[in-house]
Amino acid sequence: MMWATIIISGIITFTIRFSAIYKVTNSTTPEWLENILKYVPTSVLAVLIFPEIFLNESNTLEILNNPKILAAAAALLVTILTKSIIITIITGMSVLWALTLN
Amino acid sequence: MPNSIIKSPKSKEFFSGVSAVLPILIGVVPFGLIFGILGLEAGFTANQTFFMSSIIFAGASQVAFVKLVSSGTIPFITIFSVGIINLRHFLYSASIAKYLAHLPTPWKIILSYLLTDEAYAVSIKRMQEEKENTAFYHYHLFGSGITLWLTWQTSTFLGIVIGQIIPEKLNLGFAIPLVFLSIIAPEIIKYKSHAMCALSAGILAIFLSNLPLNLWIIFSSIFGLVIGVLFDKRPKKSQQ
Repeated sequence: MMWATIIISGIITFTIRFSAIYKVTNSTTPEWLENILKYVPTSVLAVLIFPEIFLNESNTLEILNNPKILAAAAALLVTILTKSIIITIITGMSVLWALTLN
Repeated sequence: MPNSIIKSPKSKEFFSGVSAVLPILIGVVPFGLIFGILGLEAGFTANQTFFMSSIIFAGASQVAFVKLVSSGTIPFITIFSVGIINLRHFLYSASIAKYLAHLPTPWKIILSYLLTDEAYAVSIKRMQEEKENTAFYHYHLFGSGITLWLTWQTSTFLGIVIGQIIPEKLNLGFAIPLVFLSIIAPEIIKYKSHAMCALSAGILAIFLSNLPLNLWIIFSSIFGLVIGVLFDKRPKKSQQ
């Protein structure tokens, strides 16, 4: 039963990922659709970013006393200035560690 | 490396996909370790935990899966929940489809299987540049995807057999949102519509984060798309 649950979950996940890729055989997308799809990275990645920064372990909003906000703000500033992913990680993690590790 | 390999656009894209994804591995490895540990703690066998990483291959939904099952959730709800969490991958599939449109089905199957958040994030960035080598962009996704796949399997395995080998207090998982931030920042700075899209989607995600079945992910993502399009000031073709 457990294996079946795992395998069905895997098939569903694959089907979601495969659906549009399988269907689209023409590389010219209608402009209205293109206008929506160009926001997919910004929108979905923002959805994955914000809770990681602003929510604490018990899934509640934490604005004051939240070192992750300062770390992310520093990382954002550095990424705008340098456009380097590595320097962004180093900055963000260093600020986070400076504020959390003793 | 022989010159011919370096010069081949296929291997150039492949290795640029591999190297683009390397920084994210800082966050993926601890995530995989945690999943391996979590699976055993939740009462799954080592085999089930290990193969879940290749059968489902979607970290957040795997964590939800083991937590739901260990709290006694019925299989239907568990499966449904995994589907909802991973529904955002439909948006990835739709947005990346045109770059893979020319490929034969076996390629599409492999690349769909490898289409995780991290691989999508780094490879769509390359594809949207639409510079040289456009016909070989799938090698970029293959490079980023296979690197993540190997890392995910290995770190799940290590989590199962060794356990926590990286101190949790280092919070290395935080590297993943930092990389995502770095990926979307240029567009956000450049276009008001992208900034509004990110802000609205992100803020809604925070306020919906307690929705059942993790519905907040897909709801907030779609809301962000709507806001982005509303603020899109580029002239429509009919008005040009």
